[in-house]
Amino acid sequence: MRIVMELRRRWRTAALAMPLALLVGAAAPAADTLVPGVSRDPSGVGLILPGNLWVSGDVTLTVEAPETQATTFELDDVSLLARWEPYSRLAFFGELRLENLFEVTEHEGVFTSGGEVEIERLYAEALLTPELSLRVGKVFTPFGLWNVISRAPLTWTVEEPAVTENVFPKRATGLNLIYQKTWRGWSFDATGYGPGQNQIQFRDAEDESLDSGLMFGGRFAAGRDLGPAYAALGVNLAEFTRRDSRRWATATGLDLTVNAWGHEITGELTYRVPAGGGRATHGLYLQDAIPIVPTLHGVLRFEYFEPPDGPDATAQVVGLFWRPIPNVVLKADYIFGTRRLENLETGFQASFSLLF
Amino acid sequence: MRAGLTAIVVVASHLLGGPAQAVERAHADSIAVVIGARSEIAEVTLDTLRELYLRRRRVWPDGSRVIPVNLPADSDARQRFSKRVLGRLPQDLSAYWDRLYFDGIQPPVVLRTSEAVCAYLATEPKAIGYVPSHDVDTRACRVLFVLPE
Repeated sequence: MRIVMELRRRWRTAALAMPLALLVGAAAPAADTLVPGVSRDPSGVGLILPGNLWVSGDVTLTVEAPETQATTFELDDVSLLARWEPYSRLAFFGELRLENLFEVTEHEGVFTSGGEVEIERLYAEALLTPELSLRVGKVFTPFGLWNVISRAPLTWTVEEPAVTENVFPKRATGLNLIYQKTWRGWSFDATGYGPGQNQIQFRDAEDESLDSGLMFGGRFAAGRDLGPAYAALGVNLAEFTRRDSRRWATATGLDLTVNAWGHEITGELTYRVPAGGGRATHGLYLQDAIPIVPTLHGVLRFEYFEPPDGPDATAQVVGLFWRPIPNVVLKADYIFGTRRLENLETGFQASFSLLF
Repeated sequence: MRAGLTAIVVVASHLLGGPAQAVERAHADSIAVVIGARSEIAEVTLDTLRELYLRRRRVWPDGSRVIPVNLPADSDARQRFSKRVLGRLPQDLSAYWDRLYFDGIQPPVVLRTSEAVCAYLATEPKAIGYVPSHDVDTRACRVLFVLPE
């Protein structure tokens, strides 16, 4: 136990020190090579170190002013990402996340903690053939569109759509086989994963709060150019069970992407049949990211969500996404809704993210 | 009679920027997919080119790393290549690259000129690029195919 505590303390120290080191690199004059052997990622974010090691990360500050609750300001999370490609066919990827570092709540004051360190993703990737790759480890469950992005700086709005939260396990652990091919202008993506959720079923596991249990699933998507647009449609299926249950829940879904005239239109429809019967959870969202100027997008989103208990809700999100330089993302959203749900909070939200 | 018609066609085609000139202009504006002069890469299809430039395929069949090379996003050749091969303009792909960045996968490297692309390909046999056909430096690079308009 003492060793675990010590490891967590060291991770926290490393997680805080790495952003500072990377920020120094980010603040350096723009150049392909910063120092011999170290260069900036072509995207302007992240550093490429000797030995094909890529490191990057981000920090996000969030302000939430819900219509019915106190305003909060928080240092939402610090993330560190690293990818190492020792060979052309083999790579290792890891993402460490430090969250809940600092929060100020109206009328309640300041809350600080040492933060919680979480390994968001950790996997080895082998390119078996040019089209087929295998990831072994922990990945974001490849279900739909939103869950695999899932990072504050890169999503169009501050909060995710309700239907993408807690409807299926966020992470999959085990094997993830990915097939990608373009044939006669059609792009195909197929992925299969299993056998575990965030935590694979360990009978002696102590922490009951973690998502643990078995899971098997897959996604198939096809896309192609349609005149001036590009469109892709995906089909999703996941079967999962909690470690304390032998009953299996099923989540099915469709996802859609359309790129046209600078717009990015995305949508997801998800339907979950709970383990052992009972009321299904289902919902959808349809979102349009509208180009205003090259660095500024307006965002409109419609959501419908029916939770496992209580009445359903609809919501409309109006927002702005501004990325004045590659390292900075500012977002401001207002969520209108017919009612407040745990994962559908009406009111104002804004965030500032720094990528390094 | 036939000679008269031929004369009319020739005059009209000159006045209207006739077929010979149109062919010449199309050739001058076309985009050539190129590799290094000493590269062993023999064939790349349009479908494969899309995979390579979206970084969905990152190794050649022999297992070596693919190095796709882009021209700057605001260049006319890049815009036409992106639309023709990737189905989207460079600015429409920013969200796509954000997602790949999140997995630690970088977009293709960008070189500023056609001359730089050919010079780089000459030294890197695993790289692939594209340049306007009239910019191909045949001492440094070899044309795999010309993109259909």
